[in-house]
Amino acid sequence: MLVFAASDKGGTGRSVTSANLAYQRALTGDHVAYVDFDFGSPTAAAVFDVPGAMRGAKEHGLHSYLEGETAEPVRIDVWRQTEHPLLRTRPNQSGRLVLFPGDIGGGEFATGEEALERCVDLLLRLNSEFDVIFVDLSAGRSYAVDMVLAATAHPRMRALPFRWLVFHRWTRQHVIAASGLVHAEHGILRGGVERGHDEDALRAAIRFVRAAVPDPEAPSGPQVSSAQATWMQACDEALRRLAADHRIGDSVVLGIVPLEPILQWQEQLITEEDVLSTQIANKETLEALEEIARRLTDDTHWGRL
Amino acid sequence: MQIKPRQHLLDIWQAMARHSFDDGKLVRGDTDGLSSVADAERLLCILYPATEVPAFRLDQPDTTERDVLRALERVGSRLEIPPNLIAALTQFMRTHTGTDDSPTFSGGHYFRPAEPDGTVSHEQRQLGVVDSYSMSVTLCLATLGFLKVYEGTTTRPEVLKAVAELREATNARLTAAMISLLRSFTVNVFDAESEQGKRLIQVIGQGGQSDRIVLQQFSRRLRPLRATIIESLSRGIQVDEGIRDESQLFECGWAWGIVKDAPEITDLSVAVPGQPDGIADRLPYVYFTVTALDGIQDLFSDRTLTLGLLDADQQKLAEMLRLRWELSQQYWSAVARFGADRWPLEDLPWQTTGLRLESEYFSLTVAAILVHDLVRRKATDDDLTRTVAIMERLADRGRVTSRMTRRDTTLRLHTPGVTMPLAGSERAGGQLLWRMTDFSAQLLKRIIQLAELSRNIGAQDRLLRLAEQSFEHLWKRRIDEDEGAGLWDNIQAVYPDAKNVGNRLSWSITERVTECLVAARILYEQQPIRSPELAELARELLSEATHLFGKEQLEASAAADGSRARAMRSIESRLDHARNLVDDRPATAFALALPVLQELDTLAQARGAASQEV
Repeated sequence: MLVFAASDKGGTGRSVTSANLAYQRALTGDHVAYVDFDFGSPTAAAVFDVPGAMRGAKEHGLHSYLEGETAEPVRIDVWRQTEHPLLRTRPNQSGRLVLFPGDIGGGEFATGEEALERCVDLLLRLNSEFDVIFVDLSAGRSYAVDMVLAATAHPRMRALPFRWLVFHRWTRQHVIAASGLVHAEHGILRGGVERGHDEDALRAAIRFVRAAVPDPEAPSGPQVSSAQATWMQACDEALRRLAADHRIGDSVVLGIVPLEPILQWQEQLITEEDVLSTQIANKETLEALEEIARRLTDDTHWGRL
Repeated sequence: MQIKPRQHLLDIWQAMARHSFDDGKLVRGDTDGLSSVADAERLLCILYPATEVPAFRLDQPDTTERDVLRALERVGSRLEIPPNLIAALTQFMRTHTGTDDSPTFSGGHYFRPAEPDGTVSHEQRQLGVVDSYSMSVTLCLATLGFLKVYEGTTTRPEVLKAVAELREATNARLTAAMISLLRSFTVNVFDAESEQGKRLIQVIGQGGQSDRIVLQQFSRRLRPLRATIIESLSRGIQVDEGIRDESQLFECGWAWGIVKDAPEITDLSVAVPGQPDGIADRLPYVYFTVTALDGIQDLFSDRTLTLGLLDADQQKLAEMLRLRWELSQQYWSAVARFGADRWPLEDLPWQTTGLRLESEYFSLTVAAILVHDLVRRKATDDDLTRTVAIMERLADRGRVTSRMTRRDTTLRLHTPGVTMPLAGSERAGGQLLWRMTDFSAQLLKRIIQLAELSRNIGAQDRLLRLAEQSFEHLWKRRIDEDEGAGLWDNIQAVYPDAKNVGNRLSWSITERVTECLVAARILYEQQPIRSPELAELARELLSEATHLFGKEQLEASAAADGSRARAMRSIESRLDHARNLVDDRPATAFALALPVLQELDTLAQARGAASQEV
């Protein structure tokens, strides 16, 4: 299964959340690949704490591969190469977790026929090797988005199941922007149709993840006064209505990630350790991530409305 | 116990979902499918709040609230609730459709044999009854509205197909229910010298005046109604020619089912299959009249109009029903308040004239019509206050707000309940009875309706207290364990004397309580009643505060953002806020003005202290 992680704006926690989702899937036993198509700012390595590739691979990264400079993109086994003390001991029953970094200073580039063919090759190969392949795409309607839209519509890829996750923060602007990314004139849907996708089928494969959502009612959430809590609730209501009006209402939401300092500041993986021993992360956050990871392959949360 | 519509409704939904749904499917119990009344009541427990309460809407999965989803977990997830409800409704429509594809309205196990050891035959169980017609109108309108909104949110072809199928069945059922209601309306004409005539004269005259004068007053007061009946009632009814004779008495309202020899409705553009011959006597029952009124009013609610739920035929039928709705309200409201002194309704318990029954239950039903009429006409304070007193007495006499005494016969009002013979039912076999056990729930419903209407603090306060007491009584009566936990009815919880009555799941009581809670929400949605005295006081307080504030402003202020300047700005904004509120919420404005006055006084005193010291 291919999972494309997209967002309209930067700072939505797309990379850090999808890395966490990849980690959660690997914990449950899936072989997971994490493909960093965030050309421009490859950061996934930092989330997984693999030092050599902190700002991308020095050479033979995904850029080099797509441009035909190398036949095989470099791969990093996260369990073995991470410096994160807790990740180094690979848990029992866990699957492989492999990162495909971008190149340092790779930047955005125009895609051509050849790059597309190579992209298709790569995804097909990964699909036979891994259970879940996360593809982290640059923010906005980028070349990366176009490339994977074209790749998934490619005749050789027709049978490959794929799903889209659109990440956005829980504010007015982000809601409108996220809706625009999917539904607007130059959005993913229209772009997909231009490249040969069926609109309804594509729409059925897109779900949203609300990130950094404050929840006044969470027992371990921030302590707020009753007036603040009332205000937050009323704002939340208004935002939900706004989201529904922009066709990204609750029924197309795969999950909600609470506001979490670790994700905001450290941009790292949340482990059980963080919740249980050091207690620097909230239980709700970990549960939310586990739940979204589970729903990724749960068909009741996907399909047509 | 305070009524909290949202929380209590969620409790009911959760209990209902636990009892009636398994993995999203409607569970079939022993009695399900027997009575169309009970089945409709069960579905309305979910669908009625979902239609009437915005926060409980289920037709837009995008905005379904989280607490609602938690309560309905057994019905399905966010996206699955609407299709699962559609499946449950389709199942209902299918079950209650006859072999000739016409909707059926069977009373089923709600019919009781009149003889202690009698039985109810299969044919008798299939007889239609006004409860079912009326309940069907409400259910069908709720369903149509639900489908209309939900349809726009889904693109799944199999669901859209189910929506279309259900809409067709629901429309057919709605039309059939309306036709049946038309054909169940009746006018009973009788001589003043007959048994019934004498009883009616006695009830309305209250023994104060001679029969001749009462008769005269009756015909004078009801002359316009009589004229309307003669001129305008033609479809689905045959009115006795005797009505033209002013010396004849009459009653109008709904019989228990379709009246014998009621003509078929033929002038519809789409023919409706199956208009069964009626067997009911031409005898209006107050109970069935109230039941019919409750359903018919949904036909001209704002929601029905704005969503455009009725087709052309149904609009025509609705017009005819509206006329009958008006007539029966006016008739019974006039009868209940007849005469200049004591109202006949105040003479508890009410005596039915046709069948010579008496019970607090009938007083309650007559009061219910009166409430309907008061709501429609925007009651005067005097009418309202008198009705409040009647409600209080009924609650007391029905042992809702007072204690049962030893071997209290009032127990029978609640269990086994009040029965009345269905006149004419013997034409289909043995005589049948109809049994009402929902006294407390009906009482609460009418109290809340009255409270909603009342704009007088004294009356409303009494009504609210009464409503809370009745609600507490009802809430205690929920079944606490086993089948149907959290639903009704466990009579022993409030009347320990009720021996041999175990928990008995009653959809009629559960549905009534749901209705009460929906009505209670509307009550709280309104602006609170404002007290003119308090508004006056608040205005005077504010006037003084504004003056003092103006005076304080005369003093030099040092820094623009010093603590003094900040205090002044805060005072100014609070005064503004209080002045804005004084018309709508005088008590709040009053409370806001007090600390401002205190603060101003502290400033003034401080200045005074300084002038003494220097």
